[in-house]
Amino acid sequence: MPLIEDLLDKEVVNNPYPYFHQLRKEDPIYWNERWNGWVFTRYHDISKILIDNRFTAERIRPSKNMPEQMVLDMASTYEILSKWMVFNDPPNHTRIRMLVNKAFTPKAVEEMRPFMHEITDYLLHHVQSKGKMDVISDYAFLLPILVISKMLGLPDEDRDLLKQWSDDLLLLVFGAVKETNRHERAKNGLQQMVYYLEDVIQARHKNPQNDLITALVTAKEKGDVLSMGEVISTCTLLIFGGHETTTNLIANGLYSLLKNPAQLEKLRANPSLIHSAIEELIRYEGPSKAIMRIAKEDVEIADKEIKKGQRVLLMQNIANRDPEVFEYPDKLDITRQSNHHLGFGKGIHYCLGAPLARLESTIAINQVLKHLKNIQLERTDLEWQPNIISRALKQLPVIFD
Amino acid sequence: MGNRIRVYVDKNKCIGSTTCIYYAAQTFTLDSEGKSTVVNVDGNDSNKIQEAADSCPINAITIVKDE
Repeated sequence: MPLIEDLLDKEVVNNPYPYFHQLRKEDPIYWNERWNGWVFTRYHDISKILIDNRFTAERIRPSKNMPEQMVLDMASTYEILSKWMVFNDPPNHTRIRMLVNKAFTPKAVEEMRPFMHEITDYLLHHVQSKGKMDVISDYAFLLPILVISKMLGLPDEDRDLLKQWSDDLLLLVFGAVKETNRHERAKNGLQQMVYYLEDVIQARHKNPQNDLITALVTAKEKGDVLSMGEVISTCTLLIFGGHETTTNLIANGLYSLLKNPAQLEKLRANPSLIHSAIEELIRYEGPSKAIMRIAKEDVEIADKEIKKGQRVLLMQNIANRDPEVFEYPDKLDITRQSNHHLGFGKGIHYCLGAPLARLESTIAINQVLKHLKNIQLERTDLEWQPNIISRALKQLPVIFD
Repeated sequence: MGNRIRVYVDKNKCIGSTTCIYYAAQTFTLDSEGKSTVVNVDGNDSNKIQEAADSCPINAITIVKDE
């Protein structure tokens, strides 16, 4: 088959699996000239690279064809993003991550459980009489943004602002390369978020609260205090990472269940399956399609020469359907055991928010099954967002009794 | 007298975040597969080992206190 060079080809975006299954069979370490890097599709290769320190996570830099004026215009944006822990190696990565780590442990996030119930009760009650909703805008977006706002200590009513700035920023961070004004929108979105956070941080300095922003401002763990730039940058990451992906985990999870009604009914009948179900929903249609790394030196993998400085794209959602590791990989099975999917990554960058995302999606999906009877897809011709990194539906309209 | 505890890492769960090593570097280390393993149960103060277990993102560490 002719290999498709355009990773944002409409067919590949809407249904990536046939193309990438074929690619994994024919050339599992494939040089994509158009994307200008290596595309990895085998579970074991990806799993190894994620813990191989010959590959760096420091990848925030202007693309090589960017005009000089734009490089200058974007400098402040790249400066903020370059402080995100996800784009750093140790020791910077460790220093920043360990300052916020404790807020996201399984035990710590449990404290948010009653609040998550309260929000989902409220949101579902609100749509129940209408008999329909767009899962994304009416439900899946609101839970994670309200939870992360509460953890950080930001007012509920700012959620739409935060959403708008995050959506602009994701065009750059998630690689929506077909959006021609993506640089400008990302720059403005991030700048607005920074101005907003500067005010909040000033206020916390004067008036400490029991929230994560105050904790960051006053943190003194192992003598490493974050600089003001790092505090702001980390807050932008937590806002962004705290809701964009979880929204898609909830929406993709419900979508997968609605496409597989026998599995949905099985879960409804056996709510104790929710934990293996959530892991399976992450494996089957998780919100993160790929992770990028850059080779720090020449590396040989399975007779391919990855040269120093070259980019690699590690296709998590394709690894999660590798028949070498998963039996019947294209089948959704909410009882699947030993499900070592790479949906949250692996190694030192393993998703910090994984315990939070697991709890939010558990509650969000349980609550839908409990409150909405006879839920079905309103349409089946759904479209996916054209970007390289995240697996996100544009809308998910459903109907119910 | 050392720590009167036993410490286990569930290798089937461990994803190698190295969080435990950050809190208790003399107790945990990474094996060749990038998974945490206990090298010395007396390597750190038992509070630090507890902190390591509590901070694990996938709850892979179990501490059993000896009577």
